[in-house]
Amino acid sequence: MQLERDRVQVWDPFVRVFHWSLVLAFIMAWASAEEWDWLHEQTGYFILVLVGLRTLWGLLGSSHARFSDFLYSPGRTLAYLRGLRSGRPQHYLGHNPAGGWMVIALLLTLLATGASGMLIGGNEHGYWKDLHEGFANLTVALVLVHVGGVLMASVLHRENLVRSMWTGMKLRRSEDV
Amino acid sequence: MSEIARSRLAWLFVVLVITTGVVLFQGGSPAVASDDHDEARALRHAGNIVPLSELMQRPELAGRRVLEAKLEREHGSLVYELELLDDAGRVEERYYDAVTGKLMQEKRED
Repeated sequence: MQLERDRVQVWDPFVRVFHWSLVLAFIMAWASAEEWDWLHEQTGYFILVLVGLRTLWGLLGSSHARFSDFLYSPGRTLAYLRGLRSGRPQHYLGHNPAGGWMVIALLLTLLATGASGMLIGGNEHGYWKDLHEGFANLTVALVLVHVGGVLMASVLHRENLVRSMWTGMKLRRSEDV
Repeated sequence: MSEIARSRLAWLFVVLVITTGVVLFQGGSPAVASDDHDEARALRHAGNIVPLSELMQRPELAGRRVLEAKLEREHGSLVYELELLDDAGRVEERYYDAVTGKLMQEKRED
């Protein structure tokens, strides 16, 4: 039931530029691994800068960009996931609780991937190389869950979340948190 | 912080992303392409690098099947990247500093 719906900006320009630059840079880093060292390293540094800026923006950014806006307790998160299963999840104007934790998980695995990559140095057989690959694979796994979650939430909430991340706009609902 | 100030800050962050991208990717890859024979020849004639033919006479390389030989610029130094076939038919990569001729790294593909 949507008694009152209006179009509001949820994602500010930086959040959107950050998101899509990260998508592009991550694909480039993945594709250039073991193939083109220069490109792989430059995209890696670029991703680390993006992660740093997003973290800063999570502290002082626009309302729905802030960590305090989308970090919910485990109880709230479980309630949201149960809502997904029953097909009637609670609608959130910003990130839903599951999406919020995914933001944190992705920022952490990207940081770990970048940092371990920088520590490889020239040693292709060392500990850091294995760790770097492990974190990269973990990030890919999380990205797949993220994309799956976005598609699922888009269907259940009947809204195009991918388009929202591009335009920044979402439709507010009376039931919104 | 006011909404206007925050919106300006958002755009400042966007500019920072773009600037970082430009700084990191400007000029493109510094790698010397494998088919850039002219530059390789020029470097060899100038006596700046060990000729590949000399490198190939080393005991560990003599008589080995070479699949690919490249001269690349990595982290600012010139590196020979050799792809060799060993007796068991496995591919082995060896990296030599092109200036000093020192072995830098070897890896075997499983």
